[in-house]
Amino acid sequence: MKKIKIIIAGLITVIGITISCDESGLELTNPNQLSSETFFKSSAQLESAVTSCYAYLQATGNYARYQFYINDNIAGENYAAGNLEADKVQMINRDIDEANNGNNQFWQHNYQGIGRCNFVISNEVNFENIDAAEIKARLAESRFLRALFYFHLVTHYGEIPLVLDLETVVGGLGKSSVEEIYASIITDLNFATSNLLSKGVQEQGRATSGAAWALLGKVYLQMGGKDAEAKTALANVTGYSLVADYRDNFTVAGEHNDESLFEVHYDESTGGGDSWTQDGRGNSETSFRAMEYTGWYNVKPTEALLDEYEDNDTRYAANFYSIDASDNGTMTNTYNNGTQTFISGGIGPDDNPAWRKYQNLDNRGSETTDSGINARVIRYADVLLMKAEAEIRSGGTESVALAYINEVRARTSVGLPAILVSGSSAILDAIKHERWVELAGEQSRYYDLQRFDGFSYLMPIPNIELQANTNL
Amino acid sequence: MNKMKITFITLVLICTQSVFSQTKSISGVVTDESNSPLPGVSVLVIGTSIGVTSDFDGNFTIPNISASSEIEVSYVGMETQIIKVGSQTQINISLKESAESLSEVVVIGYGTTSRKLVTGAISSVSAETIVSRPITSVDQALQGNASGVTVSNAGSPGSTPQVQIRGLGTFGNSQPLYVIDGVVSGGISEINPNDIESIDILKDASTAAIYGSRASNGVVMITTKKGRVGKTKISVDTYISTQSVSKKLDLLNSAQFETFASETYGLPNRYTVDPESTKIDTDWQDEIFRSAIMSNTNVNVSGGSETAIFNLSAGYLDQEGIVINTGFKRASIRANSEFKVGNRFKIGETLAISDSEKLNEEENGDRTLLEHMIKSLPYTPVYNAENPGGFGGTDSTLDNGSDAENPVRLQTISNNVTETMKVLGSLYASYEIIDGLDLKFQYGFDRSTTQNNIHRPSFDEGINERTAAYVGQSTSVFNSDTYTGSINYKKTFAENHNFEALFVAEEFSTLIRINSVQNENPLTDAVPVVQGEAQANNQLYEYDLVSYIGRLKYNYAGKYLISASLRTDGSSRFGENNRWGSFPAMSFGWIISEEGFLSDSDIISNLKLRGSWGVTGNDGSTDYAYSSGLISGYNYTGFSSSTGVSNFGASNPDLKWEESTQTNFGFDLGLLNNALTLSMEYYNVDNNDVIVPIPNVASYGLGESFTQRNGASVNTTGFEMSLGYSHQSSSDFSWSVNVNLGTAKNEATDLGELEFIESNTFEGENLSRIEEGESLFYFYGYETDGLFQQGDDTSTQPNASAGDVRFVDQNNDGVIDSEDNVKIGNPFPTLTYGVSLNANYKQFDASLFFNGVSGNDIYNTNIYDLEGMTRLFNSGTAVLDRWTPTNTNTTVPRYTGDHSDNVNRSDRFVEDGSYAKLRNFTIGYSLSEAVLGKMAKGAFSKIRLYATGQNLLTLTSYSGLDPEIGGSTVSPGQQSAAAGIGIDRGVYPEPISFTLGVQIAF
Repeated sequence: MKKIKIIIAGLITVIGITISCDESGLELTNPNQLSSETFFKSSAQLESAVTSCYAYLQATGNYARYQFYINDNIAGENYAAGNLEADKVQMINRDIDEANNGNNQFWQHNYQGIGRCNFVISNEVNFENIDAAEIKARLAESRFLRALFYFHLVTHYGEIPLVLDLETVVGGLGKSSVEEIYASIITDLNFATSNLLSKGVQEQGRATSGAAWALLGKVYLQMGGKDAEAKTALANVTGYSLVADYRDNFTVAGEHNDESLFEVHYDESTGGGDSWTQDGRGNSETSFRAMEYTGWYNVKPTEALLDEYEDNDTRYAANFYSIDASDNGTMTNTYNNGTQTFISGGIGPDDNPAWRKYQNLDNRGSETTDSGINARVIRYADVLLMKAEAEIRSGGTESVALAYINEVRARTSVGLPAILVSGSSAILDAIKHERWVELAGEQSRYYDLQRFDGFSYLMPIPNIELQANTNL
Repeated sequence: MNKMKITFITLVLICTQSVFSQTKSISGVVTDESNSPLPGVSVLVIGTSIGVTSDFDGNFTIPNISASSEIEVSYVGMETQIIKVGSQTQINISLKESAESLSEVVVIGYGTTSRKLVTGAISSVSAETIVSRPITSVDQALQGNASGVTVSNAGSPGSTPQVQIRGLGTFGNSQPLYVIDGVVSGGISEINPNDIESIDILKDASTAAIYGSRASNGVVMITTKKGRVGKTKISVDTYISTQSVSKKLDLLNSAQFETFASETYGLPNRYTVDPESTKIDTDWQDEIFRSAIMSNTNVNVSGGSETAIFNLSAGYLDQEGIVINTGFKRASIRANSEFKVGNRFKIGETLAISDSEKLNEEENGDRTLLEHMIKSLPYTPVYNAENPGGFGGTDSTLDNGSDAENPVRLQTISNNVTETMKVLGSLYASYEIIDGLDLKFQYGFDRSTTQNNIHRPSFDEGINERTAAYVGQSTSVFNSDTYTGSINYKKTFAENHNFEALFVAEEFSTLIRINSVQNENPLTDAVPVVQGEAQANNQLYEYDLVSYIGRLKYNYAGKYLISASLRTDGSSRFGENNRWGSFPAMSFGWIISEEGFLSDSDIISNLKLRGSWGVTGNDGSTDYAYSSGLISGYNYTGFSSSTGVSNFGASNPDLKWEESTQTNFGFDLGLLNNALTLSMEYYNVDNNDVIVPIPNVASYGLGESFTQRNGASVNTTGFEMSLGYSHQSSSDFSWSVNVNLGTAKNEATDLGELEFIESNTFEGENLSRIEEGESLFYFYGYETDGLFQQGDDTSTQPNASAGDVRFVDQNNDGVIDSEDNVKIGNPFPTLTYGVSLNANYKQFDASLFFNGVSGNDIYNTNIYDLEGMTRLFNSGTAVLDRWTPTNTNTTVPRYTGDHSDNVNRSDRFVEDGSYAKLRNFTIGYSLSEAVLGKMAKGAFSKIRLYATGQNLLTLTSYSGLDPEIGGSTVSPGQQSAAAGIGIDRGVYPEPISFTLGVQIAF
């Protein structure tokens, strides 16, 4: 009997253990993430979702690295000075393949930006407790950025998938036509222009109505055949002016000045993140540009670009360092607050001029992989030259167009004589020249070649899309 | 328990012979070699069911025994003796410790069995093997000692090892499951190998399936030392080693560099501005590598009475790394004890506490320390007092942008320490309700806290600088709890029908909490802690596993063996759709040597055929992988509120564990009284539903690049063999040899919708690829065909001219492009092996141990730095032999200023990775009993002195520092350490070491 009792006690123990295996413990939710069901219930939450849309502008595929390599290299503004990595050499040779790292990053990070924008725009129905005007302004920011990301993509790839919401289908979306992409960009920008806050009212660094009008004008020009629309849009860009010193557009001190319409923020003091792989997440707040261009001297300005400068154009010295102080008038050959001098052998593998624009070397002895200089996406000089172009292309008045060009040339620090030519072809040539020298190394030449020279080179859709998208 | 089983099994196995004649009574004392009485020793009369056990003083008495009888005296850990009774009435027996007898008991999941009755594939490593050479970690004990187990050099001292059982069948977690004294543990790096009694490796599914959803990578069962009834024994093991690097790379010295630079990139500006400073000649390898001291001391106290046994040990390891400022210290304490209350109730505990400190290797810019060491210019001084921080370095203008970081500064200026405190143990109680019916409850726990403290002061060495001190501290707390309740019933019916049934219910849960803070301190380098505004990060991961396990074993007369088990697991790592899974297994065995026709054979002493089948799982995906949500990491600090929140990744509620189906066939053969033993295995593993990071459609912009999906299948097949010969002799000289070898061939059999999976990014290119029909992670790139010579047609290859590498136009389309990439190497060895030789002559012992791999390839990225000439860095001396119009008979391509195609991924970087290492050569001398008896009134029972050399010899054609490449250097975006297999990114080489040691027992 005693034995049986013990057996029963033992079995009860085991059954007890069995039952105590609490199977409800198997249902765990990730405590490290927020739930989308309960989000968008406050103004601060909406703001944070919109902030995430900006994050991919800073990423490696955009202004931290590949935005400038892809545009400047393909457009022939750079040559490979040091032993440039293979993917960037492909850009110079215009034979970018699907595996090209920059191609993959550029595609990925622009689409990641679009994904963040779609997350805001598609969730509008879930917004609660937020003021209606604020909702419109926030949506407008998201749509401005979505338009910007798509503009990057359509101008570099042509036909691409047009993703405008959060729904996914297996294998991904197929390509949409270039016209459809542009139609979407125009729709977004129309919403943005009418709902964004203006510069001064808007928080510094966020998209403004002025930036949206300027981007709309740029897009119309790039589409071709929409020059009147471009002229109208650009006419709405008001409240900006050229700064006296051209160099102020490329320094930390000159950030968000009167000439600036839209910038991508970089900040050396925040730094912190891994500047080699900036993937939109974490505090990756610095740019590689300064180290790449005139730190490692991976690229230098091409002879064609250097030759384009008129004699005594001070922008030459503003944009480039040289070991020859007499090069093109007065040249900048010192750095580190004038304490050090570029000499033969010290300006890269050859003694040709090197980039000064967006470099920190004026004030220090060497560059690092963490540059805090904001990338200027649109500035007023660009707007003025676009206005001139829209004026001519839409059959407007030549003198009006020349006035815009000459306003840029007459900047205090530049002070070049006015251009006096006539005929739309000659004026367009003058605009093309002025854009090249004024906006050198500012990711403008690529677009200009498409508009002025019928340049049609596009990158192939990269592997990062091809490997998963079966509907292309 | 073990003792009882052996007794039981022995009873079953003994052939029944009845010989009756005159009877008498015998008695005696059983002692160990040091004349301490051994209680609990089994003394059996062979051929009968008569048996007794010795009492606390080692005494035994057997009545009614005939003079023609033989008695068998056996005890766990001792060599069994068979003694003819003859005319003796008093028989005193001294048992010798034995390595072989340990292997008689094999630890399996939730129990033990006898080696003889094993039907699956289990390799075992004994304590004697573990302590026979100076090792510091469990993985080293496994290396080369067990067939089918591959262990790779893990980096700096204290790093987590790469251990693979039967090759690789998954793309994710490939580490085996470690079970320490019945408790699943988070890792083995904190375990002191001196505390280990035995390691049993469950390789096939029938033995591993009892661990269900976590068993696909094999299970390593570690049993720590328990006490024994008898006199308290104290042993002290201590050794000291000196370690040094075994090989150096041929790098340019200052004069050679000057020649090279002047002929290629042009001399850096420094040669004209400050020519004096270019005369410096720094050998960066001498600066980075050092000869390092290691010492290790272990003290063990064990003993016990009939009601309680205990084992208490303490160890202290202090290992300097051969790279400056690396090293590992570990203090550990272990206490195992067990108490008997009455005859049926047992209660016990295992408890290990370890505290370790690891000085980490630094890296920067995705470049390892060794890469910086190769690239640093030889004229750069190590130190420069004028620079903030005190280190020399390059200047962006003077040195033409050559920006390798001063490796000495990189490694020494910072303090990067990982401290781990681990408490691991269990409490258990068992009650034998009736004979053969055991009820057991066990609570196991694993608590570890790992702190990584980093302080990197500011410096400015020129082109490289840190303007503000970086301070980072992260703490990771790992808690796991296991509750196990089990019932085991064992009974023999009708003499020959032996049954055993087991039922287990278990709950296992883990919690990981990670807290980290970091910031930059521009004010001072003197404060090594985070102060002021900081970035904080906090993560919490939980995992819960509920399991029900059943197992039935049956054998008929110890001849025909069959076993079946089923485990059902519910795991929180998977969504509702796939939360539960079942893992069945079965196996059979036929011990032919027990059959009548072989039982009298003088030649064949053991012959067993085995077969098994089973299903196991791998749930080694990350926690919450099936769900997705929002994250708050999309920051943009330009705004007043920098926090960006958005969606991240795509959820996959259908995610489930990988399922592995394995078949194993094997046989064990023992010849000439088991002097010669041979075991062979053949296995076939089909891994299905392998979790693959399926790329998300990039244009969906989901934030995360991949979603974990069950999308692939992998097949692995292989053979394993263990061969041993032990020369048993009564003379002073005895010797033995053991050889084990294994093969493992894997193939991706299905990738679902994917054409291929790429991984291992190096300089913007993916080096490895997985593709249907090919081995995993094979190297992918161009095949090369020498160099172009002057006059050769280079039109197929853009940019190429004489002196450039010629790539093979695989598709003959007249142009070299990405279409011409092919398989250029396989990182998996076709054969892994270990050979050990042991010999004893009088008081001397000697052992020799080789292990190696063959047939594998290594992608040596160091060649890119040594011979690539991609930018102005220091290089290998090979660049002096580069192609020039006057030096055309060479394999090193020309210096190119205009393109870098020569360093495209290609077989130029792929080398044969086969090696054989002389791991260990030891000579020992033990003082004889006669000498010991005279010393200190016979207090010592053992004194052995030994000298060991490790890694004395490496036979390989591999040009890198060490052909043994662990997957420990993980590149960004890589899914797991296993995925880095065969890629040498500057591996921390294994040192040559010389050791002197002494082992003392009281």
